[in-house]
Amino acid sequence: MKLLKFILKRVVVSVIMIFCLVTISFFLVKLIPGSPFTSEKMQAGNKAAIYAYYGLDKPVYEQYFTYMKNLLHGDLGTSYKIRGVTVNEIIRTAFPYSLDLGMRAVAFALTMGLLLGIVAAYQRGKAMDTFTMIVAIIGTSVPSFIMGFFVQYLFAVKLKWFPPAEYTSFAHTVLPTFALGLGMLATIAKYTRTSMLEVISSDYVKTADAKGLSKFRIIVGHQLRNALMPIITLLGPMIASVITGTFVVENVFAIPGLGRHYVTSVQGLDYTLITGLTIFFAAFLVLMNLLVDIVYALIDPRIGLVE
Amino acid sequence: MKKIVSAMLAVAMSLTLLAGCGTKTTSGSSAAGSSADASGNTLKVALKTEPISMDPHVGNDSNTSTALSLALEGLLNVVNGEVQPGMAEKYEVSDDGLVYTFHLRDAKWQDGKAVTAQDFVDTYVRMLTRQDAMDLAYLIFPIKNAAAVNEGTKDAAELGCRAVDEKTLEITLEAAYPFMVTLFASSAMLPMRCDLVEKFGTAYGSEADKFVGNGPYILKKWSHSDRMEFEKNPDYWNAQAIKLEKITLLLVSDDNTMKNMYDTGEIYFMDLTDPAMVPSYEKDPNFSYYVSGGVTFIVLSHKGSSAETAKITSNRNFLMALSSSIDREALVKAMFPTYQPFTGVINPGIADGMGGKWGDNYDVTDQYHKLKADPEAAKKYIAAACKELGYASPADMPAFDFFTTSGEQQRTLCEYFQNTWLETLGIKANLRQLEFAQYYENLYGAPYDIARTGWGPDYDDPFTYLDMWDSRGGWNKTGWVGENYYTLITKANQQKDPKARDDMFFEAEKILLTEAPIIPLYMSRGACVVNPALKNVSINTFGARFDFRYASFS
Repeated sequence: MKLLKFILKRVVVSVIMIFCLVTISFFLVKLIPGSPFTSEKMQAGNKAAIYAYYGLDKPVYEQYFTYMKNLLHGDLGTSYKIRGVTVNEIIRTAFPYSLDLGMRAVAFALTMGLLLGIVAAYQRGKAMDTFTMIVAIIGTSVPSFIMGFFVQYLFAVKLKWFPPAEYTSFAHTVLPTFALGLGMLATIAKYTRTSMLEVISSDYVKTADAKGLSKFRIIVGHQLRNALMPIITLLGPMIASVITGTFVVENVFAIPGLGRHYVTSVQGLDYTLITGLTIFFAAFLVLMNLLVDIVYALIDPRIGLVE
Repeated sequence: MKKIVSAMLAVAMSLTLLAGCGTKTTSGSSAAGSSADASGNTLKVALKTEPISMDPHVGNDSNTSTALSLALEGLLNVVNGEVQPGMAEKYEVSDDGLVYTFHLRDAKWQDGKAVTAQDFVDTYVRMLTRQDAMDLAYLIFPIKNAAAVNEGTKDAAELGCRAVDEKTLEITLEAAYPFMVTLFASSAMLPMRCDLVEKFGTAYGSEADKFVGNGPYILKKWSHSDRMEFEKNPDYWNAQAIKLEKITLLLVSDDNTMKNMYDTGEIYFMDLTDPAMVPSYEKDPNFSYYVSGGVTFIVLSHKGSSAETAKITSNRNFLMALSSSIDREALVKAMFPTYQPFTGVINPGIADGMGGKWGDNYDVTDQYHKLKADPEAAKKYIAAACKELGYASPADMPAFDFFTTSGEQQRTLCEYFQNTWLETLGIKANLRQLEFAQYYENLYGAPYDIARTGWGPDYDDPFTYLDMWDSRGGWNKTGWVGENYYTLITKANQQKDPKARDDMFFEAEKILLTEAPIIPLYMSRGACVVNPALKNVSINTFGARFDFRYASFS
């Protein structure tokens, strides 16, 4: 019951938050100097006609009400730059690619990151630990576009193990998954190692050991459960940002995900697309944070939401 | 401890396997066009930007024209710069050069409907009267009454374009423009199915199922921001000349990615849009340059960013001081090794009226503006400007507002001007970089002093570089008004003798170079590489930039 009430409260707050965000971003994009329809060869009279066509000649508050009304029906409007295509349609076609790649990257980063972190903690000061630290340093300090081009050059151009770009078969997904996941992997490995080391010498672990529990049960059931707390906090926003598309990796591997729309819509002042993507991303982020809070409550009984 | 590690590894392996399983199923669903069957008859081409629309009135960048040329065919075609028959089997021109009569062949739209003369009439009327996209309407202003129909002062029925019968189209012009044949072959004059516009509205041409073509290929699939898949049109009138079964246009926005795809044989053709990529292919036997026609220059606004700067930017000696301090040769060599320094207005690669190139007979290179920097002359000019405007030294002049587009390259380029002007002349310019949408808004409306800008030709005629400086038109917002200039180009277009017309254009070019607020900088040059296995790619300055319709594999 407590949990349900908590979720309800959070949902209400989220809706208000998203409403404020929509309002702010709607007016902010209009404040950006320039116009979505100015082009090299546009004649003045023709510009007025196209403004009228898209309703941009009306007062801004009127445009806002129209937009909000449509938004309530789930209609995010029509893109100005990708001619004749609705924002809903753009998200519907592009998001699956970002989601697919993001999930792969998260799965890769989470399994390998946790594993490396745990092994490193147990092998403290030994080869595995050093290896983990090297991976962590590379993963956090090398930007993903350099990593992207590096793996593309090495594994596609030189070794020819994988295709260089596109996203049409399993082989195509390997390099982008690696490039996108490595940074996350590094962070997760680093956090896991630190928090595992914290709990490794705690009393309850010693007790568990004394009870004669198997190493596996101690690690998974006792240590990892506690060590996971900081990682879960990290994971929410991390997953949200990875799954909703990343400009850099998608660009390097020519993946038709949402990433490039974030950049091109702003460059082209595609008002409806900018606002639509902002709403989509915000809703996703809010949802992920909500999920994290729930998982948190489930894992840590001290939060007291689960009886 | 060893046991733990091995247990961990076992867990990890099984987890990775699980992840592999999970992902395998999703990969099946996201699989689009298979790239593995890049066999004999499928061509994959990477484009840096997505074609804007299959509605021919919406965009006319080179990538859009490439896509349009596959699925649509106009009255005439351009293949390797040469005009060939298209939907029109043959055409006649009246003696006064004003009336073109096209005889259409028996051809069909992909849905089986016959291509008629009325389709073309409807298309051009719509192009002039539609409210949602009129950027390109000006391109057909050479047709009689087109400008008036566009402004709404004349009825569409008065447009000089009429269907004599189902297969005969008659187009009457405002004047006997000699460039009409290339214009008829350009993507701006491609036909569209106006009866379907009623059904699809603005969405016409935005998706494969909201478009009907009449060209050598049929658009089968369009996955936005990803790929366009074309398949050979078996009903195309010249189908036996079409060799490839399938052409895929793939959006690859990153230059390095494109390079890696070309190097691994994933794509067979690459347009080198970034000059920095050229050196790594220049020695390649499959590399070639092509005329793109683009010219880049600096403009000064006679309106200025303030009343004080307006006086300075309108001063001729000031303009010449800025120009003389620039070393165009060194600049191009350092920054754009594939481009050429430029000191004129009309690109010498454009066709003249006499069957040759403009540069064959008319040359202003190194005359009004110099290829190399001349700091001494620049100092004399600025001293003269100071004297005329009442400044003790250039340092007393206010800082100028100087803007350009965004990007690293633009910054480097404009910082070069900034430094040169400061060091040689003692003039301060504050550089602003704007995103594209803001840049044009600024160029056309907002106050500024100096701007870096450029122009690409619309048709194969010198007039395309001159028309834009007519202050009554859309482009020239610098505040410069050349009355004698306007009279001259109008008179030139009434000339029957092509030589007389070109001579007058040459005079007009000289007026621009001595009176208009232009500082020419360089001309761009296109460069591309073609895999030796791919034959018959047509590269044009006009019409479709890259036309793959007759391409084949050896």
